[in-house]
Amino acid sequence: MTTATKTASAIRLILKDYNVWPNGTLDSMLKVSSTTSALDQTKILSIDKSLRRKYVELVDPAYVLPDYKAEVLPLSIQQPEFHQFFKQRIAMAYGQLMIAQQNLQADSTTLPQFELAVEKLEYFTQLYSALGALQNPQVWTVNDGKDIISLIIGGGFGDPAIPEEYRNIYVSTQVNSL
Amino acid sequence: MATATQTATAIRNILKDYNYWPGSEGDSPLTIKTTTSELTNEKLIAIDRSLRRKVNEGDASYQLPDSSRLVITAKALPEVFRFLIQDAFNYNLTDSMNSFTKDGDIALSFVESSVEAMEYLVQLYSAFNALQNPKVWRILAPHPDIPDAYDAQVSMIIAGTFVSPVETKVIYATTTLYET
Repeated sequence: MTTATKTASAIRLILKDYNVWPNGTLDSMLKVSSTTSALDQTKILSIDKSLRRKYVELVDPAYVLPDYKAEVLPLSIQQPEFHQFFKQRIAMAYGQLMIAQQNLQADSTTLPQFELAVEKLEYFTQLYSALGALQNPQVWTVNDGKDIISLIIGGGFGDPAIPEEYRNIYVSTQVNSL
Repeated sequence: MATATQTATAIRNILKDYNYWPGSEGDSPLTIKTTTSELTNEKLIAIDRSLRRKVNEGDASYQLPDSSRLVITAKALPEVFRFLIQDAFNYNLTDSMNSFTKDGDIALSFVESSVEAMEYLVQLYSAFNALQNPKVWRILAPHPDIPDAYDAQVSMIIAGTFVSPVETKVIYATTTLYET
């Protein structure tokens, strides 16, 4: 039987060879996590906070963390539709591969670029497939208004009737443009 | 530093999830080997014989072709791979992307397998391209019954030489293609 741990490992395996989300601010890498908490606003903000702390640590020590306790939250949380979100990225990666393919036909020294374009398309299709198999898969973006954007994609795993075994699995990273 | 054995293992890993040579009318999985001898005509003929023997194992009446009548041709890597990549892109991948756009998620698995096929080609191309003097050999045999025709079984050998200060080895992939 597949468990939440196995599903999370399967997603980690997708990321083994190629793990580059476009426009990343940190290392561009998606991190796979699983949690017993619901993926609600509180949890999304806590993931956001840890990503921003990492940004301070790794990129910009002068970055001031938003006030998470403010009455009006200085962050805008959006939920682009999951399927649409991935379809756009798959279409984009396919378009890039088309160009790389034409370049390869003209000049075989562009092989490494073509190889990367293939990896990228594979990355988006496999992530779409794996994350789409979760229950109620969703995408969250949290923007601070200065284009430091947390990206969180996840869904549920298990039988909701057995809450002690139910997990949410999600991937997260930080980008400066969607 | 990588060794020939490690390089061969890395190529085997490419084939782990997906191992179908495009254009063959049967399953044509590649097998990776290394040798210290050069791929002379004699060696190529020996490989051809062992490939033909293997795929015709169950056929008691099978006779190996006269090796003096084999037709051995070599092509440069880009010539072979660029054509296959273009084909895989224009037909396979573009078709599955179109049905994915039209029919939605039900066609996602087509896109995934087309991407896998493309990955197989590009990674093999890249791996052999990193070796010295890479080539793709094809060995045709005369048809046993029809004069001036070729047998449907074609031996293919993709080879390149691994050279380091401590060793020189030929790494090669073999398979039998079915072409009618």
